[in-house]
Amino acid sequence: MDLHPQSGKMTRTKTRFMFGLIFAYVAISYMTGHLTPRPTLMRSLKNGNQETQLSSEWRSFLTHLETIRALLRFDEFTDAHLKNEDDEARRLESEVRVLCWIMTSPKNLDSRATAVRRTWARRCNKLLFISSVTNETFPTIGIELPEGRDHLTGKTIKAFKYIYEHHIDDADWFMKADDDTYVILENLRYFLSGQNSNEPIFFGHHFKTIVKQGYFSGGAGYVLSKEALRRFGAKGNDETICRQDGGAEDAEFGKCMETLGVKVGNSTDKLGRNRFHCFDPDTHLMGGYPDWYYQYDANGAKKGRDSISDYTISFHYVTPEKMNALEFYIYHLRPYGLKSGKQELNQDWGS
Amino acid sequence: MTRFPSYRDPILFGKMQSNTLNFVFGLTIGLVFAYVGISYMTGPPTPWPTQMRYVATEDQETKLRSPLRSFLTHEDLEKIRAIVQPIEFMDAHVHNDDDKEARRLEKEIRVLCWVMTSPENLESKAKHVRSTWARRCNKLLFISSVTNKTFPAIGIDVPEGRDHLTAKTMKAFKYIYEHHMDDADWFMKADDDTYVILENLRYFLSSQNTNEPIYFGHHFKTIVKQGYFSGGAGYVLSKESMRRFGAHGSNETVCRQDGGAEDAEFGKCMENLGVKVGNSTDKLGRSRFHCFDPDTHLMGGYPDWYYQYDAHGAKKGRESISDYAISFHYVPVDKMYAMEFYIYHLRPYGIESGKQELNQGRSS
Repeated sequence: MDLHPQSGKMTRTKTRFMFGLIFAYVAISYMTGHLTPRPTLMRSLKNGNQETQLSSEWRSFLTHLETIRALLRFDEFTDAHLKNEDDEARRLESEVRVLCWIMTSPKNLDSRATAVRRTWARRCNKLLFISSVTNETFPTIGIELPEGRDHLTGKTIKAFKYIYEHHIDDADWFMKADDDTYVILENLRYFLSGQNSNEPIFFGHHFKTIVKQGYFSGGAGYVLSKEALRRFGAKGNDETICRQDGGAEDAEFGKCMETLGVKVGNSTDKLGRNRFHCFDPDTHLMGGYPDWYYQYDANGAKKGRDSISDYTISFHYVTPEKMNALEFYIYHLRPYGLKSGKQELNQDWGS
Repeated sequence: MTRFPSYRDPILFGKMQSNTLNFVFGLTIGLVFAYVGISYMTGPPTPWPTQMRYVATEDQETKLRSPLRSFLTHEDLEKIRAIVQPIEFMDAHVHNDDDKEARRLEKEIRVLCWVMTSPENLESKAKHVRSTWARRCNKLLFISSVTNKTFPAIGIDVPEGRDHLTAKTMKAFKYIYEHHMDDADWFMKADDDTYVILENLRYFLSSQNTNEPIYFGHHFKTIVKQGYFSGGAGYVLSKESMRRFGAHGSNETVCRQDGGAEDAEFGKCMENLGVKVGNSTDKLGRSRFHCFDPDTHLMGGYPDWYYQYDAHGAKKGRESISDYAISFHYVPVDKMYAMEFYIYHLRPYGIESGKQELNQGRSS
C-alpha cells in the first residue's frame, strides 16, 4: 500500500525509466559485443595529446564505438548518390569468385587488418583473416604458429591447407595478401576472366631469382587456380615436396608450386605493364627502387608509365591511410565529363 | 493479480499502459544518451585515430613502418624529387574514353590559369605543373620575378620572397587584366605546388555567372569580414571581378600593394571592390577547393590553426571531399604524376562512373 502515494508513484516511474535507459545501453553494447568502458581511460582519452600507448582492449572498444557510430550515421561506405553503371563488374563478381585470405597478426588487427576489411577486402567473394591467434569477434582464424618472420612460410602452408580443407568450393580462385596489400578486385576478376582455373597455374608479381621458373612476391599478393590448390592440398604437406616452415615465405611457396607442377603465369597487360606490384604506387611511378629489385624483377624493373597497367590489381606497403586514399581515388574522385571506356587490356589466351 | 483488490483493476490496466510508456520513454532517452555519448567520445577532433595512425611527416612515417619497408627514406625521396623526369602516359590509343562532355565544357568555359612560381622553381616544380594538370587550361601563364623566354615565364618586376607575394599577385592580375582579358571567361591563380582538376573546375563554373562580381576558392573565415580564400588552394575570379580589379586595384587605399599575407590582402582587396566570396561546396556540402593535400584532408591531420580558419567546420574524411574536387595544395612533383595516374588512368574494370549532379543552385 502507498504510504506516500506521490513519491511511490514517482519511484516506480523513475525505476521503469532507469530500467529502460539501462536496457538501451546494454542493448547497444551487446549489439557491438562489448561492455562498459573504464572511466579512467575515458578521461585520459579527453586529454588526447598525452596519449601514447592505448591498451588493446581500449582500442578494440573504440573500434566498436566507431562501428556503432558508422552504423548510426549510415555513413562512410554507402554511396547511394553515385550513379555508376557497374553491371559488368557485378557480372564478373558472380562469375569469377575470388577467396581472399589476409595474413595478419594479433597486433595488426586494429590498424592494418581493420583498414583492409573496411576498404578493398569487402569486395572479395569470400574473405578470411589468418593470424596466429583465433579472434571470434574480428574474426580471425588462428594458425598454431608463433608470430614472426621465421614462421611466415609455416603460416602460408597451413593457411592454404586450411582453405583447401574448408573452402575449396567457395571460390574459383584463391588469393593470398598481406595486411598492407591493396587489391582492386574488379581488375583482378577482369584479368582472371581470361584465365582457366582448371589449369595448374598461379599469378602475381614475378621475381626471376631463387626458383627456376621464378616465384611471386608475397606482399604483392598471389592468386592460385583451383587446380593449383588441389595439387597443394594433395601433396603440400610432404616435407620433401614443400618446405613446411622457415626461409622466405614467398620463395619457399614458389619452390613448392614448381615442384607440384604449377606454372608461373604471366599477368602483364597488352602493353606489357605489370598488374601486381610489390611496392606502393608512388614508388613504381617514380622508380625509387632498392638495388635488389633490379636483380629480382622479371619484367625489367620498369618505372613510370611502363610499369603500371590502367587495370592494375595490387600494390604493397600500403598504410591504412593510403588505403583510404586509394579508395577515394579509385572509386570516388572523378574528372567531370570524362567517361572512361572499357579497354581491351588482357592478352590473348595462353600467353 | 490476487495481490490487488478488485476495485483497482481498471486502474491497474491504466497503470500497465503508463508503465510501458515509461519504459519506452526510458528506452528512447537511453538510446539518445548512448548515441550522444558515443558521438562525443568518437567525434572530432578524435584523439584515438590520430594517435594510432602513421604520422604525416615522412621522417616519422618511415620510422613507424615495419622494418621490411623503409628503403625509401626522406633522403631517398628528396633525391628522387631532384631528378624527377616528366612521365608521359602514352596509352591514349587504348583508352576508350568518351570525353565529349569534357570537351564541350572546355570550349564553353574558358579558364586562364596563372601559376605563381620563381626562377629556382622553374625546373624543379613549374615544369611538372606544365606536364600534368596545367596543360588542360585554355590559357596558361607562369608568373615569376624574372622573364624566361624558353620556359616561358613572365617576369613581374618584384623581388622573390614571402614579403612580396602580395605585390606579385597584384601585379600578376594587373598584367592579365591588361593583356589577356579577352582570352578567358574565368581567371585562376594557383601555386606551383597546387594540383587542379580542370574538368571539375569547369563543371562547377558552368553553374556560375562570370558577369557577377564573385570569386571562389577554399574559404577561410578569419581576417576579412566576408572571409577570404587560401592562396595555395587556388582561387578563381569572374570577369567582372577582374574588371573591378583592373579599374581600381592599383589604388593603395583600396588594395594594399605589397606586404602582408598574399591571400588575406587580396581578400581584403576583393571585399573593398565589392567582389563577393562565393560558395563552392557541392550539393552534399563537400568541399571542392582544398588547402592541403588529399591524404591530409582524408585523415584530418590538420594543424591547430586550421580549426579557427576553415569556414566549413574543418571536416575530414572521404565524406568531406567532393567526388568532383577541384584543387589540392602542398602537392610535391612526384605526387602530381601520381594524381594524373589516379584521376586519368587507374580504373576499376567494369564500373562506369555516371554523371553526378553535384552543383548547387546559383551561388549567393
